[in-house]
Amino acid sequence: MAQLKIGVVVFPGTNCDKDVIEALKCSVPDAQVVELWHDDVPNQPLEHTFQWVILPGGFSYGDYLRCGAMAKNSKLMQAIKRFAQSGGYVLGICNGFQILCEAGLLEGTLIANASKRFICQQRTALEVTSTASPYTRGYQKGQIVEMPIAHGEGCYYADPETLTRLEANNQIVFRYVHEVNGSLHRIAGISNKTGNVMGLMPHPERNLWQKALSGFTGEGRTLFESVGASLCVTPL
Amino acid sequence: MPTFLAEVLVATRSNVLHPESKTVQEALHGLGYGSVKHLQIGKHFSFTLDAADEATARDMILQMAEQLLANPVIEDTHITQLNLLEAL
Repeated sequence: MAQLKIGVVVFPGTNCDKDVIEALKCSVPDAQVVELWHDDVPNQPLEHTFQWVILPGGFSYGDYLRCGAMAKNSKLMQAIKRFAQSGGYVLGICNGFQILCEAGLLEGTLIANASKRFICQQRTALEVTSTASPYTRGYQKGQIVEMPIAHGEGCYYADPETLTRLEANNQIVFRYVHEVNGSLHRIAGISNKTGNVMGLMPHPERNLWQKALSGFTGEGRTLFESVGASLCVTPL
Repeated sequence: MPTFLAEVLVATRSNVLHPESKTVQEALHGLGYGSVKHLQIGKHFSFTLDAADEATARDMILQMAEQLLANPVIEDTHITQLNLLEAL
């Protein structure tokens, strides 16, 4: 089988790209990881060479207008939309999740935290609501895991019909155990209907190793390993 | 081609929680303006554009809102003014 190729997207203002690359190095060690600059027009469609594209967190374009609004119109995002439509795996973390919603690859949107405060906390308990997703295959359904969060606009919002559909289709992947930011249905992460596109506000790449003294559990790493395993068993 | 001056307001729909609006309204209550209700902060865009006629200009603006200026999931777009400018 050809070597797994993963793209990590960098917009001006992205600041979690190095952490994501580090996460991939330890969880999918055989993969080739390539940084993709937002303004570069790929020579060939992404789906011809990549299996997985990740949009890391940060403040793309300084969060001008709305979080993710400027990024969604970048040249690279048009290629990523085609990539996702052809079945390619796309993961958006934090600002990456906001961009995927703005781009219409995921439903709903993320608005200012109900508290109006930027929330930064290392240990945020999440319930793994669905293990049908290739991103959560390595977890147990109902498992409680911890991941750090750091966001000002992480309150998930969608109209009631969309929420009902997300619930019915098993598209809610992670839920906050406790109310943290006002998200409807305590949604922390969702996928699209086909499951290849997923976004979440918490940062799995910031919890890769178990460290008893600092309280890290290493539970974020499973997410990256799950996709690595899914892509290795799925014929490319 | 005629030039139009457009004023566009994009505001969060009233049924969507907008903590900033809520905070400002509460602050006004604190200042003694207790009768203030339904306060909504919006974004105001002011620009000129060239279009064949007013209807075309309106269509262009709504398309711009759809693509960039507004998030259709939570925001509504209002063209508050669209005036033909005299030849500049």
